[in-house]
Amino acid sequence: MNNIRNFCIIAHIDHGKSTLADRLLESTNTISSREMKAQILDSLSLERERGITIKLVPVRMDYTAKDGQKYILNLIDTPGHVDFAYEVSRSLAACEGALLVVDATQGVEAQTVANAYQAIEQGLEILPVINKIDLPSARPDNAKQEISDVVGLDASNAVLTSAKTGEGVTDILERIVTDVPAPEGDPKAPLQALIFDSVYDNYRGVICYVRVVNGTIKSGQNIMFMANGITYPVNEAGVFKPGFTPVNELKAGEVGYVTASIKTLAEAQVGDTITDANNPAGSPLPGYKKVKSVVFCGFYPVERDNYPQLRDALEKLCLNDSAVTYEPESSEALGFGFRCGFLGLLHMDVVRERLREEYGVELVATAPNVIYEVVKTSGEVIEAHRPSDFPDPSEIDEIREPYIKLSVFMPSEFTGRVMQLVQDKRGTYKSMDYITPERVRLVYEMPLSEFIVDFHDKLKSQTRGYASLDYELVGLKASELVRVDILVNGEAADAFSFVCHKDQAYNRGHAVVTKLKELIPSQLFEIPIQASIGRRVIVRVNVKALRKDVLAKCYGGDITRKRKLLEKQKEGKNSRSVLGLHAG
Amino acid sequence: MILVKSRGLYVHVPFCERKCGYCSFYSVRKDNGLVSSWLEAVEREAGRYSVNGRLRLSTLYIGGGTPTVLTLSEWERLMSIIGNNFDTSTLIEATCEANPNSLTAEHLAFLKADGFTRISLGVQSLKDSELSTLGRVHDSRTALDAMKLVKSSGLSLSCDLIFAIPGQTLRTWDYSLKSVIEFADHVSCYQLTLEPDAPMFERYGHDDLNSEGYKFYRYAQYFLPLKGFEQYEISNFAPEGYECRHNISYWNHSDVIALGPSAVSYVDGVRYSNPRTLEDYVADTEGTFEKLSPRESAFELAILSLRTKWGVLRKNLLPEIESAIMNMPDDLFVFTPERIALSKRGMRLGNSVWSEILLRSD
Repeated sequence: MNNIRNFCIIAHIDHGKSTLADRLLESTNTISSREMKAQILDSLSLERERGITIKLVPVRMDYTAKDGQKYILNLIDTPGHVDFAYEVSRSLAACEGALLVVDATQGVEAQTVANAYQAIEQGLEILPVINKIDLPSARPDNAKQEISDVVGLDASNAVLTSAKTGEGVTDILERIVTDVPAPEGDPKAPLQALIFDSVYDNYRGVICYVRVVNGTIKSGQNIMFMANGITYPVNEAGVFKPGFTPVNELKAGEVGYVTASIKTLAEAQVGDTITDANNPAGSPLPGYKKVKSVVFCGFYPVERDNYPQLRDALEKLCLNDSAVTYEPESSEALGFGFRCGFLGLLHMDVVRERLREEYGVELVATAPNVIYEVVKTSGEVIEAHRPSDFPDPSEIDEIREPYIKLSVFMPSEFTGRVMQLVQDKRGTYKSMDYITPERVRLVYEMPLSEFIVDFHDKLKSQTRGYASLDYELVGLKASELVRVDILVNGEAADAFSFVCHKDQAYNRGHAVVTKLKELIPSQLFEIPIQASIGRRVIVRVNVKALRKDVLAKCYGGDITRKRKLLEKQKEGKNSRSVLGLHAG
Repeated sequence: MILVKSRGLYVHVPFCERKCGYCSFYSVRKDNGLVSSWLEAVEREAGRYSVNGRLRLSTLYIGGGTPTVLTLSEWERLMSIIGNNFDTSTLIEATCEANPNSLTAEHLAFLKADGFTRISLGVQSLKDSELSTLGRVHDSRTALDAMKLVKSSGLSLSCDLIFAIPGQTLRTWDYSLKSVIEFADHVSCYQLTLEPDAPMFERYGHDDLNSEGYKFYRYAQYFLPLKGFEQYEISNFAPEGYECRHNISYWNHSDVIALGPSAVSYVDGVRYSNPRTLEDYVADTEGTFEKLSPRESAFELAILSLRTKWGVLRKNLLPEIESAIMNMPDDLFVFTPERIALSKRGMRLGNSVWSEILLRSD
């Protein structure tokens, strides 16, 4: 156990985490360069497109250190994105150390801080690594200074490296051996193994990625999942070499995998503790919680006939990603589809991309939204997933919505614009500090619902892409929210209802009815379109009925002309059916 | 009354003293040589219908153009052509269109003697500024005189009025309406619609006259029934019993034989369109025809019948038309066990109703 080192890499997007991981694998001859696809750990194409890692793939490296001893280095790759904060925390819990990778040209960014703090919180030893020192614009000293100023870690002995050229990689390996503590644990104690990830395999069922904390796990053993009490006999235990390599047993301190013909991911949830069914541990490992979707949107097939394919694809996808929730819903405009829940926006994109890439399903996604908590005057508390779940305003005592704490890092010249943007999004100022004279960190609290709509794009365009952000959920807060209904011809059009802050109700209501007015063909009937809060109408516009020619005379020779005119109108009408409306 | 299938005769007199600014009906300047060749052609065309004997007519309508530009001798000639080829003894209504400035007491005496029952007078407006915008030859004083003249002749008087004239207001519209109903027992209200070939089109054709027209129409729908003029069709108002039976024939698919250039007949489910210009018509009166399929005919009949206050007979409705109607807002219709008709509101939005119905015609 003394020769095991479990570590992970934390970094901001693009700071070179995956390249560095690849280089470590190469240096330890874990895989030959022939097998080496660039950045082997990033397997999903979306990850590759965006250059970010989402799914954790652990790998075991054998390394002979300069002290002559052989060490087992388990690299547990972590998703950098905040959507997966819980998974990150479980991965961190499986490690004793972390490499904090900072780009020598960029310095500390929003996610660097968030991830570093999480690692510190979990008691991990942190090794600062300054990457990309080969670049001409590299300023390693500045990066060190920022680590010390912003993160508060001593970076004076940070490893300088270039994952691209391989410079400094051996130093990193040595430092892992010397600085990262060996795992502690009792191989004789009752089994406690932390599931830090699980994946679904068509042949073997669920494969649990585990870190054995205490005790030993071997094939044939009856194991129990402590969250739900389900037991299974172990089919196989093994390590990541990086392929799945069976071993006789996994002892305390080791990282590996377990298969046990488990049928669904829901039975082997991330964060749960595996114990020996015959000799169970007294308590599970701390930190387990059920992940909860925070962002929701509707997925509809592009072609209505493809609904069954979408359903099958979602079912299969969920075998692999238990964080996705879905339930059927239907929309007048889009037909049948599903309301899906995600951990965050990126998670939503990933799922969408996977449905497209892996299952060939083209789909339409509706605007994302969040869950609100409504306290009724009766004292009852209900969760409102969609506008139609909101009770009548007279029955509402309070509405709470999820808030996030948002940190934005950016060049100081953009401060004013970003502050304006955040304030427009109902953000409340928390703090502002200068990381360097040129770079600023702004901290705001803002509603998640505002964040998920188009905040990221707006931030990018306001700062020409120079800002980085990170956020964490800080819980529910009471807000003066209202449900705005859209009534077309006096009847509520549910698909267009929305929830917003009362100060925005008029403007947003106006925008929707104006858009609808343009979209509804005017030759129907005179129709009022209204936006209302409860029974109070706040905006009203009329779609005027087209009256052309109604009153023209119609005798002998006019009849054919009239019919042709109407036929022409009819063609126009067929091409834009009223039901084809989409919320704007 | 409208349930009785009738046979009407329409004769198009394609002559005018002057072309009005809004008009796209076919007409030419009157010229004696042209009139006689027109009469000869009408005679030839009428002869085609009387090969197997004179058909009985229930209604007669002489329109134009301006029928009153014909001289008395030309009139006599026309009437004898009609009398020689059709049985006019069964007529229950005979109408002649007239313009205020060319209508004389002699005309009226002649028409009356010849069995005419109605005069349809192109008053259009009783405000001089509006009349001149329309490019009419007459002024309001002439129009009033002509109305009085018809009234004293004992003939039934129908007046045409136009609304949505540039410069018109609800006040002037009210004035025109009020003035005509002092003399008329039938009022037709037409929205100014400018076809590209109308002289006024250049100046006003691109303005949004249509949305302008709405308020005038609503006002007519309010005002005329108040004075006893029921709206019996989209454009027509009259006290019960004074409806124009000839025009009703168009809306219930009764046979109408139409003579003259650009005239359109509907006989036994076939629609014949005569050559449009006088020149072509004189050369050969034979035009084109169109045979409606039973289905097309059913859709057309539903749409035409819905123009009238009597509406459509439910038992004659195709199921898809009925379901189209049932899917529209209730307030557009008046339902009785046997019939469905447009409500006042429905009449205002008639085009929309019809195009909804036509959506089901494929």
